[in-house]
Amino acid sequence: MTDVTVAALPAPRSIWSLRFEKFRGHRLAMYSLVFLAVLTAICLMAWPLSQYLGIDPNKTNLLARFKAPNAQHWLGTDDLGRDVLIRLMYGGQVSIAVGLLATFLMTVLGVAVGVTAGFLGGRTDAVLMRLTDCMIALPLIPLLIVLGAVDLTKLGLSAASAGSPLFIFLRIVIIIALVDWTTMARIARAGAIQVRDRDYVRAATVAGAKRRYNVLVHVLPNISTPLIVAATLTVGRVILLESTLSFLGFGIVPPTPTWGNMLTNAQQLIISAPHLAVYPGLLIFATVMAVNFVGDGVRYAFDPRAENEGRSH
Amino acid sequence: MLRYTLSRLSQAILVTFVMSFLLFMLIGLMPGDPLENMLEGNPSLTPELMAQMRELYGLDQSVFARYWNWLMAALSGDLGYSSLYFRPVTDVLFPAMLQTVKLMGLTLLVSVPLALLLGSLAARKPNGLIDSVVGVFSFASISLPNFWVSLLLIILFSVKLGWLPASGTPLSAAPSALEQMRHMVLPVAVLAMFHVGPLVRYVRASMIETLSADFVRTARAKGLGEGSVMVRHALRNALIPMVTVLALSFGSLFSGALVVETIFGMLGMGKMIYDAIGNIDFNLALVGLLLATIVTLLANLLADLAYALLDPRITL
Repeated sequence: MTDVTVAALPAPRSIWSLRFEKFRGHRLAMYSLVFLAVLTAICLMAWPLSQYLGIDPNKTNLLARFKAPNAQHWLGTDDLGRDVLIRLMYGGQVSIAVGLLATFLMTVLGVAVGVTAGFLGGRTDAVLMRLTDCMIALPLIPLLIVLGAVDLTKLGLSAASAGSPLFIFLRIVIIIALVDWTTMARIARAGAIQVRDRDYVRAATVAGAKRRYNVLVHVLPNISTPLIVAATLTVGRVILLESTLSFLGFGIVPPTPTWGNMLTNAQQLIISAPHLAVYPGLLIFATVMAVNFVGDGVRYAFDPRAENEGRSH
Repeated sequence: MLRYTLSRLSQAILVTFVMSFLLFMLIGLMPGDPLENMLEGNPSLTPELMAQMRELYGLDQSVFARYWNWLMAALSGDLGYSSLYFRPVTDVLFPAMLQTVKLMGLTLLVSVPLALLLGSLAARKPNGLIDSVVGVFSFASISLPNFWVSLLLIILFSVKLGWLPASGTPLSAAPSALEQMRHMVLPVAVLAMFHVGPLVRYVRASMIETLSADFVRTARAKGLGEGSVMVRHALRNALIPMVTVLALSFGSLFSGALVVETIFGMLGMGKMIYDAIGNIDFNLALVGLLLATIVTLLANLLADLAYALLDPRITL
């Protein structure tokens, strides 16, 4: 008898660890993720740093306008004498928070619509998808501007709370989610239709499972992969939408700084202080680009057909 | 085909009415009401007089009744009065529409050929040098804030270099065609840059697929030149689905036009809507938004029908 040597099988690993390894192989996505983590960390330092430097980011000081960078104001001051760096840091917090929250909300909304349409089918499906088609085609920015102009006191909110920074923040999150859930809905619907007629769903139905059980246990886990990919790519678009809206004056309004509304005044100042137009835009660009690269990496990592080069089986 | 057309058309009309009602409600939720804004700061106005005026204008009725009145008037051609311009809405609307048609038309003239060229070049050698450059370009195009790029271009070309005007409309009363064109360069460049990014990705994907098709191999096998294979065989086939993509991009193109018109001070539809909402001009905002919506829906409808007409494999 000859000895048979069996090559040691690699230890079984979870799909998540495989995906993470593949994501790490996507250099650009990995760098972008690190960049975003560092950026978020820096932005979260806004409050401690402003305390350390003794700066109130919303306090105007007309005697200290357009100051060049110095020991107290590391990036100088803007047209109202406010510290540029601290405002950029606070603005980053807003952008990132809006991006994540609105994406989460529209994912919930899109999944609700899409799964309902796909799982129920028939007339419900037809009506919901027609609605989605219409929404996809609509010009988003004009629609967002009207939604941004809506007077919340007419909807029964007190004037004080309608004007509070928290409400202005939540409102922008909600209106972006309200107009941009369509991609999610289409993905969720396609997934739900695929799963709906599978044998295991039928078996569960025959065994007495309710619709809710089937949706929660069978449909949602099956559509989570494309949804996570789409959601990552959405964050970048949401950040762009928020900054555009704030730039136009219908998003988050001063004194709360955002990268978008810091550029509102920049147009009037392009002759006297063009550098003020550079930082916020550069940060929006870098952040959105990084988010999109991460999205690309996630898509690559989650796609079983996209294999690492040089790895043979 | 006729049945399909009719059913889609009736659906579009239904959607238009639903949208008009939703927009009517939304516009009604803007701060203030038309009378308050019109008569603001008029000291001789007593509350009784105000109530009389409200009744006269029907503002005391329910939202449904007001919508019905507005709809009947609109259908008979009366779109109301613009409180911002002190002119009938139609008088404001048509010049603005012309301006936007010009802007978007010129943009399409730039972006579509550019997308076809870049997309085809990139598709010839996937992952090659050109493909990478084009890929970075289209990635930047979807990641850049368009208002920021507009500002930077103004700083560079208008302020620093002084080559091009920073406004989209000439100031002189009767500008020459050349003068008008000079003012359009920056707005069109910005808009085209943002329109072209997603298009390029699409053309590239579609061309890669087409280039691996049998008929392209046949064309090559019978000895046709590369140019002929690319343009007459591959590109023509990749063009059909482009119609749909272009129509679907209409909404985002209009959104971009709003931003660009606002920054470059062009009196187009986008800026008109922006100003109308900013200044609580109810009639103008409603009509502007509704028109933008209808045109977008129509573009999609036409694209669907054109798709069926252009592609002989589809029968309805």
